[in-house]
Amino acid sequence: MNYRRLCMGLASALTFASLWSTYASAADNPNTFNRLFVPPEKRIDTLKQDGIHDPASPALKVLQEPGDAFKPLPKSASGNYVNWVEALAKGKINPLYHHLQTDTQAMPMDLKIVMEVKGSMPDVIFPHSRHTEWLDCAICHPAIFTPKQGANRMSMAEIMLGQKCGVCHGSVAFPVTECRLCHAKNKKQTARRKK
Amino acid sequence: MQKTRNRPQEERSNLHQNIDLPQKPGPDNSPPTGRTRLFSTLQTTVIFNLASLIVCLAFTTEPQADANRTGYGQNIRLTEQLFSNSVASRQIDEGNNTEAKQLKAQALELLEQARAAEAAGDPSRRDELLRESKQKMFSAMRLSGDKVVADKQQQDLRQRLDNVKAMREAWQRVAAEKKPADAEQINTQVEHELDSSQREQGRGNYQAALDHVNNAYVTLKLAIVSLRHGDTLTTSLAFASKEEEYRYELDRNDTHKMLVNVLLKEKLERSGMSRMVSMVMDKVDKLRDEANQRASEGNYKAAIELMEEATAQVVRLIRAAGIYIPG
Repeated sequence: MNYRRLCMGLASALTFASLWSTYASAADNPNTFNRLFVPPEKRIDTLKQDGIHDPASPALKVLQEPGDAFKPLPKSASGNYVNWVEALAKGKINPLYHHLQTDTQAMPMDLKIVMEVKGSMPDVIFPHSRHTEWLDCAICHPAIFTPKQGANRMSMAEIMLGQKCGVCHGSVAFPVTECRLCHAKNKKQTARRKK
Repeated sequence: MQKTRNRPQEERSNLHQNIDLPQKPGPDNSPPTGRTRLFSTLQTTVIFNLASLIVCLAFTTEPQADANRTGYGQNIRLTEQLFSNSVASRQIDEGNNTEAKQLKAQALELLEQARAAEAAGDPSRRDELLRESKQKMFSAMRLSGDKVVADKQQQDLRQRLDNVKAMREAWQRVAAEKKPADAEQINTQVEHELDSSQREQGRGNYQAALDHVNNAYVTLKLAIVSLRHGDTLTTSLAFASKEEEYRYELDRNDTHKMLVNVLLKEKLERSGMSRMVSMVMDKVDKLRDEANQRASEGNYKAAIELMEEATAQVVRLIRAAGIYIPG
């Protein structure tokens, strides 16, 4: 056996594997232009590091790590890197809609709200269906949004400060850095429809 | 390890001779080669490492009994605190609910049995009794919090009534637009439930009042969901005045300035971009000041154009930093 060739082969294989993993993680991340984003496998904190759980607690050995729990779920490019809407749609999770009346089902409402925005930014599409699969009407109405067309003028500044959509998005739902998820209707489509 | 690649054959042989290794003869009883010596060394090393690992594991593994004792100690301590120090325990003792007091007494008895099981060396029985003891105590706690429960019910009722009021207004707007055939029936049903709720509230039956309000809520929700199915409502960007459009541009510029912090924070710390960012942001602030000046003079059209340029500068800055924002 030629050990030199063996060592060179091993080194090549390791190099290729590291390059492939970099490529694969970039391919999974739709925002590949943003080269400096930390890859998802580095962002999910462990229970010891998440700043919430006491690292000295003996219960930590019993709890499941988020990385393990989230592995079989569809991936997302931000937040806790799980696409929860897709997970629900594909039946990967089956949350209770009501904590006491466990046979209660969600009543999704298929109503879209389109909010035109100025500039070249695509218009916002708010899908009630995706939200009402998880939430009851009373969560948002009337405390956060008035249930009336045109009554909820808002700005991204408010959202980023935790008001309006920012009550959830950025804390328990995907963060506002995911522009395309909300700004989803291109201006050309809007102009074509108006004609 | 000395590199032997480029040394003369004689010197390499001498180097090997300096290493005192157990020497295995070759397959034809010829003197052992360097390769054979290497395998022997590896064999010895692996065996030694495995032996060390086994010894280390033997000394570091905790006996099961100690771990159980530690976990049990904490569990019993917390349960004792629940009985002696908790607010709920004091509420049970000071309250008039005899059923709650009986449940607490039963819970204490189960705790004593758990201690006896521990002394008898029966950990699974001990854990089961501890669990039952805590469950009994929680049941007692739920029965004894009369004022707390009543306050919560009233708060829930107030919130639910707000929800129903908003939903009712929404329903009336949608019904005026869509004119469904059962509009009158739904209105009557909702009115009936709200009247019943008010009566129950007057009698102090908050849970019953809440149930009626919930019925009204569900009726309205189902009605709106079915009427609005498949609709798309558009909020157009039609400003009542140039001043309103200027205020919109101010918000838009605020947003993009915040995005600089949100999107570029790590880059600013890492890659020394702060100089470029501060140059652009100074320019943006100057444009903003000029826009404010125009607005104060009543020239909102010029102010809007200046704000649009200011925001465009920020967008270019974010993109130049490698963050793509759509548009």
